[in-house]
Order: sequence, then C-alpha cells, then structure tokens
Amino acid sequence: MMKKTTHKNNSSLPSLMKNISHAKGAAFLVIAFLIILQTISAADYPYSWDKQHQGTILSGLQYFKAPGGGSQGSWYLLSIYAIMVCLLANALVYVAAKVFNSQSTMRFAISEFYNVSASAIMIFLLAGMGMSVFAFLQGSGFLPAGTSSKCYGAQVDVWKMGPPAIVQCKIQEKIEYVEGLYSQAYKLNEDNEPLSSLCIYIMSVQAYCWDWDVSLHATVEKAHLLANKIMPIAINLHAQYMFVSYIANNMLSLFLPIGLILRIFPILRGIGSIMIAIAIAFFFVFPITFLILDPDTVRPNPADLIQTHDNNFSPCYSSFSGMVTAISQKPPNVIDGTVPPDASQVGKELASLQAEAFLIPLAALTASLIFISSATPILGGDAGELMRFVAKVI
Amino acid sequence: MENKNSKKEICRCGNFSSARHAKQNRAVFPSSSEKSFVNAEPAASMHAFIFAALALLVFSSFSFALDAPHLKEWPQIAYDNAPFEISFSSEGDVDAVSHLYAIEIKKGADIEKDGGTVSLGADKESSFRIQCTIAKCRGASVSVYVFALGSGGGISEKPGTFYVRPQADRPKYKPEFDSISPDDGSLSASLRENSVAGIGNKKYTLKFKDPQGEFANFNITIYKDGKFVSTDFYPSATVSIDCSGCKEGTSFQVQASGIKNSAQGPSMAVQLFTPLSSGLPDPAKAAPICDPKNLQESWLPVMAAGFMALIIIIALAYTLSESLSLPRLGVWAKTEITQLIISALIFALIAWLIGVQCSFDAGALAKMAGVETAKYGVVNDGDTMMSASLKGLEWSIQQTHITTAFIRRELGVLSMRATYNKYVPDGAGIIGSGGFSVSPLSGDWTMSGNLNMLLNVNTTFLLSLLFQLFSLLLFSTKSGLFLFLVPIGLVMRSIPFLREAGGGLVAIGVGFYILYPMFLAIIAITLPPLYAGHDAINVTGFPSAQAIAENERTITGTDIFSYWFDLPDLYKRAKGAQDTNKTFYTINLSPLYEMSAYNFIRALLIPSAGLVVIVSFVRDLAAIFGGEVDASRLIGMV
Repeated sequence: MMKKTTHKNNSSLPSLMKNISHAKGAAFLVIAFLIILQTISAADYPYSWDKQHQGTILSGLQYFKAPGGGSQGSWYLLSIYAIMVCLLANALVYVAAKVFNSQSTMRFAISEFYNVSASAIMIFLLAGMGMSVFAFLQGSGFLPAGTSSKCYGAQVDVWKMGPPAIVQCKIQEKIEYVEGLYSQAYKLNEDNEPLSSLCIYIMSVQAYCWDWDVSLHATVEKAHLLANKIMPIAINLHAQYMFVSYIANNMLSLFLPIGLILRIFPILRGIGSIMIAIAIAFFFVFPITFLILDPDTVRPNPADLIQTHDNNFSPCYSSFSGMVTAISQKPPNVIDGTVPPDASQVGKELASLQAEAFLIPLAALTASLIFISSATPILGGDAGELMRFVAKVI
Repeated sequence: MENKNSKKEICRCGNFSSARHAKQNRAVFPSSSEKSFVNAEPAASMHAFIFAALALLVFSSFSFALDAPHLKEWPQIAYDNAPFEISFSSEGDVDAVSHLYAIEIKKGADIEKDGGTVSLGADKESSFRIQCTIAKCRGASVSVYVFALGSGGGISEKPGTFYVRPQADRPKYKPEFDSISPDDGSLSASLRENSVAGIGNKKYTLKFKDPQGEFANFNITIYKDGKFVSTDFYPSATVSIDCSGCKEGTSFQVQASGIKNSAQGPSMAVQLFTPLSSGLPDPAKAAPICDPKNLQESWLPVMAAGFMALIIIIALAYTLSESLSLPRLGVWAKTEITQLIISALIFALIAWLIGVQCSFDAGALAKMAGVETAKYGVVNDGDTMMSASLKGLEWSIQQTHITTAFIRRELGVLSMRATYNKYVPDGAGIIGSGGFSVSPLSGDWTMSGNLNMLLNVNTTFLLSLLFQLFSLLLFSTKSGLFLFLVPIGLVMRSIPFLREAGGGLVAIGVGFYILYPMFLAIIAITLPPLYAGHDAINVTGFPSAQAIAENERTITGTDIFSYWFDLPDLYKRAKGAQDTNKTFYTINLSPLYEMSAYNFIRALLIPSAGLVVIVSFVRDLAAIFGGEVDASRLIGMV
C-alpha cells in the first residue's frame, strides 16, 4: 500500500523566509530598507554646515561617494581595496578549507564573506544615500524642515544651521550667563571682603574688626560658595562646547570611514562596529535628541506647537510638562548690570541653570549611549565594556 | 661677570704698549675718536715687581713646562671709578691653586704698582678687576703681568691704552626683553629681567627692545650650562638660540646690554632652561619596531627555538601514537601541529601589521579627514603613526603645562593682592598708637578657591597625559614590552596548557602596539583644529588690564602689581586674540575654564574612551587567539 504523502506548499512568503539563512535575510532586509529610504524626496539639508564646519561634514560624505571625490578624499578607494583584500583572503581560506575538508573553516569563510558583503553594502549605501538620512529625520517628524530653536533671543532654523551648531549656540549662551553670574558673585564680594578686613586699633589693641559682624561674614562666605559652585558648571559647559565641536568635525569625516574600513577585517570588526555606532550616535542622535528635549525648539506647525512663556505647557511635550513649564518661565539669560547683585537671587539662578546645563545634555548622552549599545551588536561588535565604562564615569 | 675667585680691586690706569703683544691689543668698543688711543707702543723694557721677581726666582728652578698665561679681551674703555675686568687663561701643567698678577701704572714720571693673587678655576681660567678714576688714569700707561705659580712659571704682558670716560657717558638703562619665540611659530612669551622661562627642544629667537630709544646696538652674551658660548653686537636686537639638541636641565643665560656712543650700559640677564615636561625621551629611543632586524634579532631566535622544540615533541608524540596504537595521542598531535601552524600564521599577520603601521602616513590620514595639518604644526606630512602620536602627546603636555603654569602664577598674584594690607596709624597716643588696617584688594579671595580647584584638576590632567606617554613608551617602542610579549606569547600559545595565557599575551601586545599609537595619532590629528578654529569667547563688560592696573595704583599707591599683566601675551598669542579687554587676571577666569575644559577632553575623556575600545579589542583578539583576557578588570583600572 502506497503511503499517501502530502507535500507542504512551500511557496508562501513566510515559509520562503524561513528557508533563507539569517545572514542572507538580514542582508535583503537592509537593502530593502535602504531602497525605500532612497525614494524619499529631496530633503532640506544644512547648506551652511559646509561653512560652519569647514566642509568636513558634507565633504566627508562626498569623499566617500566617488573615487577621488574632492581634492583630498580617497576613503572610497581605500575601502574598495580593503574589501578586495578581504575577499581574496576569504577565498584562500575557503579553498584551504575545501582542500583540508574542514567544515568549521568553510563555515568561517562563508560567514566572513557575508560580513564583508554587509560592510560593502554599508559603504556603498553611505556614499550614495548620505543625504537621505536628513530626509528621513525630517520626514519622520522628529525635527521637520522649518524647525527652529531660540538662541540669543532669535529663532534660528535648525536645519539651515545644523543641529550641532544650534547646540553650540545654546551652550555658548549658557556660558555667557554663567560668566555673568560669576561677575555678580565677584561684585557681591568686592566691597564686602575689604570691609570685613578692616580693623580698628586703639593703643595698639584691636578694638573692633568688621569681620566680627556675623551677617557680613556670612555674606562674604556666601559669595565664596557661589563662586566655587560656578566653577564646575563653567568647566562642564566649556567641555560640552568643545565636545560638540569635536563630534561635528570628526565623526563623519574620520570615525565613520575608519570604522567602516576596520569592520571589513575579522579581527578588527569589533572596533569598527563600535566606531560606526559612536559616529552615528554622536553625530545624529546626540544633537537631535538635545534639540528635541530643549523647550526652546519650535516646530513649524503653529497649531500643535506654541511655545509660550506663560504657565501653559505644550501638549506635544506631555512627558516633560513640568520641566517645560519651569524652564520656559526662567528669566531671560541676561544679567542686568544696573541691578545690584543679590546673593539669594544669584543662588536661585545658579540652581536653575545647573539643572538645565546638566540635565538635557545628560539625557541626550543617554539616548546616544542606548543607540550605541543597540547598534553595535547589529554591526558585529560588543559595546558592553564601553557601557560599563560610561556608567562608572557618569 | 663676577669672578668666583678672590681678586683685588686697585686703582691703576695709564697707557702702555709692547710690540711683542701688540696683536693681543684688541679693541672691544672702538670708535673713530678713540682709535688714536688704541695704538700700541713698543715696550721699552720688561719690568718685574719685587714679589713677582721673587716668585720667579723661586719657581723658575722648576720645570719650564708652563706656558705664559694668556690675557683675554682687554677692555679699552672704562668708566670713571668703575671696575672693569681682565680675564686670562693658563695652559699646560699649571698649579691650579693660584696665580699672581701685578699691575704697573705709569703716568709721566709717576709709577704706581700693585698686585695680588688670584686662584685659577678648574677650567684654567680666571679674572681680576681694576678700577680707575679719570683724574688718575686718563693718559696713563698700564702694564699687566700674570704669573703662573707652579713648576716654572710664565710671564704675560698686556700692553695697551686705557681710556677712562665719565660715568655720564655710560647708558643708564638696561634693555628689556621683548619676546622669545620658537622658530616653528608656536607659542611665544615675554620675559623680564632675571626671570626664568622653560624652553623645549627647538630653535628660538629672542628679541629685545630699547625702553628709552637711546641704543645704537646691543651687546649680547650667551652662556650655556654656565660656559661662555658667544658674545656679539646685534643692531637689530635679535638673537637666535638653538636648543634642538638640549637635554633635560640644559640652561642658557642671556645677558644683554645696550651700546650708546660706543659706551656699553648695564646688562640684564634671563635664564632659559629645559624643564622636565619639555625633556621628552629621545625620539631615537621612542622609535617603532620598523627595522626588520629588530624582529630578526629578538623574535626569530626565541620563536625558532620554541617551535623546533614543539615540533620535536609533537613528532615524538605522533610516532608513539602510531607505534603504540594510541589514537588519542595521534589526534592530540594533529591538533597541536595545527595550532603550531596557526601560531606561525599569526606571526606572519603580526609582521604584516607592523609593516602597515610603519608605512602608515598620519599626514595622509589627516588629509583624508579634511584636516590641514600644516596649519596647526602638530602632525606633518610623512609622520608615521608613532611620531604623530608622540608629537600629539608632546603638544598636549605642553598645553596642559602652560595651563598649570598660568594657574600657579595667578594664584601667586592673587595671594599677593589679597594679602596686601595697609596699616594707617592715626597719631601716637600716650601708650601705643591708634589706627586702622585694611586689605583693600582682599575681594580676590573669591577666586582663590576656584583657582585651587582648577590647579588640582589640571595637575591631574597633566599626570594623565604623562601616564599616556609612558604607556606608549612602555608598550609601543622597540625598547618596550612588545618585543618581549609577542614572541613569548606565540610560543606559549603553541603549548597546550599555556595556550590561553599565550593568546592573551599576544593580544595585549598587538592591541597596544598597533591600536594605541593609532588612537593617539587620531587624537593628534583631530584635536589641534579645535584650538585654532574655536572662537574665543567674547567676554564683555570686564575692565581692561590697564584699567585694573590703574585702579591698583590708586588703591595701593604702588606699581608692583602692574607687572603681572604682561602674562596675557602668552595666552593671547596662543589663542590669536588681540583684544586687550580679554583680561586674563582678575574677575575674568573664563579663559582658564576654557583651557581646563580642553585639557579634560584631551587628557581624560577621549583617551579613556579609546583605552576602553582598545581593551575590548584585546579581549576579542585574545578569544580568537585562544586566550582570555579579563577586560572588566582592565576597564576598572582605566
């Protein structure tokens, strides 16, 4: 009796996908995603970035785009050479594995082939679709074209200046504000401390010293304390400013290309992956998150986003409503030199500035680190040690 | 320059001549009107003084191996009642303890004689001084004799004309130093008299200025490590010093005096030295392992011996397995021979990586990144990874050291200002007096805590940079651990029970030799543009340095504090800021905050992140090589 056999119909899409190995499937998905991304229409990219950052950002992309693109760039050629070398090495390893009939070595050679292919795809897509990232960011609604942010009292278009430039502007604003606070603290003490050093002598005996006045002494010490508190904030802000400059100038032009090339080689894949993730995280995620979290950022739809300086909070930032209210009610960042300094007022200003100066950058940094820890394994590396290091530092 | 040895100042002057020593009569400050006084006349006779003759009689019985002491530059012009120096040296087997000098001054029929003893220095040189007045010495002839005591003795004679000028002819003012600039165009500094400045292994140009506009030219004398180097006249008040081969602790002393009407004025001196931070290790010792002989001499013997031993053991094992029918031993032998081959391939890979690193052009990488290295002067075209990393560290150390130097100086100024105290008595009473005391500038104590904290953190940054430098030298040079770790590791890796340890050693050696200099080179490329391109913070509302100095004069009644405001020149030139309103000191500490932030980025943040990445790489590489490195402990240390 013949057994009745049933044949499963394997022509459906899910079953088709099951039959494709993970590496191939991932490659197809990446290609498909990037093709979809490519179809997004022209985006409003920061033209002034070229001047703002001495051409390193757009130039970095251009250098990667075409062989000999730009007068100095040759990342593209270098990466092509690296891919060819690695493919050749993989081929030799595969042949050797076949000769010696080593299954594990054959599997290694095949997996390396997929990894090199993935690196090649990343390079080609980066060169061809760099601008699409901006289109994606604007089209996704995080920061649509026309979004502006307030800096030095004026609304500045985010995408015309570029997110890193806006971040720098805001940090610079805070730096000058901190310096104004310091000046206030100094002026508080300028006359009080000499007065506290005044002593009267009668018949060579100290009769009275103004330092004995408790309130005067307290004022002097308060000024000292304020000045000591201002210093770490000032250094922190300066460090943030420089850090943003560093990432704006170097992430796309140096770290990303080096990461892509290192990723091609097996023993350097981990480092390459980390560098790619760091470059993308700090260049895109950090400044954009900073702007998204900043309450002064205004999107172009006035019906949804009205940033006012009264007690009404914007519904679009519902998760940060309390903070938005508090920060939007903060006095303008101008120190009025005609008003005599008041220690308690300076202290309040300092406290509110401390929250703003630390909290938003910390949140943006956290988002960037989350991106790094998520993206690095996908790219083929391990960011565990980096995360542990950052956790200890922070 | 003062003679360290004893000497006696006497008042003798006159003119004298000796045909035999006419060629020694070189004018120091010749002028057309005085040339007639310079002509030498033949000595009529050689005069010996009583004590000199006795000395000659006593010592002439000894050997005649001594040469006559040689008298040096003869100062033709002296000033009324002012000492001038006569120097001499002795050759041959001299008694280094003492010489005798004797002077005869003849004016008309009057003859004055004097003399004394002078000790010869270890360098066989010495000097003594004589002093004249116009009344006594103008037109007189002078004979100077120096006797070398010891076996034999020689007599020297110095003819010449001695011209005395009034003190009023002498320039009263000293020159001022304008600036000292490295020839590579990096930082420059201004100096004051008797100040000390640290310099590095470079060529420097010193400039002077004439405060009163009265000098025709300058006489500049240079001493190196206490020894005379050169003296010359410089009409443009600019002199060069070459410290490109200086070792740690090398010192230069530069004396400058102005010339007016052929008369030399008082001199001033500055000291230059190479401090520890500039005395970086000799670049030859910090060289990478690029010469193939390095590997051949250190690696190949060790690895060849190790591998041969292992091959023999494996061959024995395989033979035993075949003869005794022990299949497990045969499998083990096959596995181990495979690992041996893999170790050899790893060696080939490492040799290739070394070649890549040695041929790596940091300047080309910078160009690919869009950085114009020539503009910043840290990394140049053709620099290898090692030289770029060393240059970058040297630059960072220099910048951080400057910051700490600024802060230390500011703390000193602050202390002086804040502790300045005035006591104003209000008449004297029957018992004691009354009055009041005040510290009018004590408001500066506000900044004291800040500056102390800044000094602490910047010192930490400096130490961190020095740690990085020593790590680089430890791991990544031919005199470092790399040549030790890797061959030992490769041999250990081929031994079954030492495979993990060997793999770990190789991974550590490769990671810190290849990646660490590369990372430092990237820092050297990427950080300098941030300094040059960074816009100086526009600080407004603070008083200018001149306003502060004027305020201080009003309060304290002195100018002692105005001296300190020259310091910002160094900072201004470094930042390219010319605005005198950017007062470095008092109230505005923003430049120090900015510099401290820079130092934090380059000394701690970026290097630490890089070290973490390198340690991760070492861990992954060790896993590939069959080892295991506990990266978490290394990260904890970092």
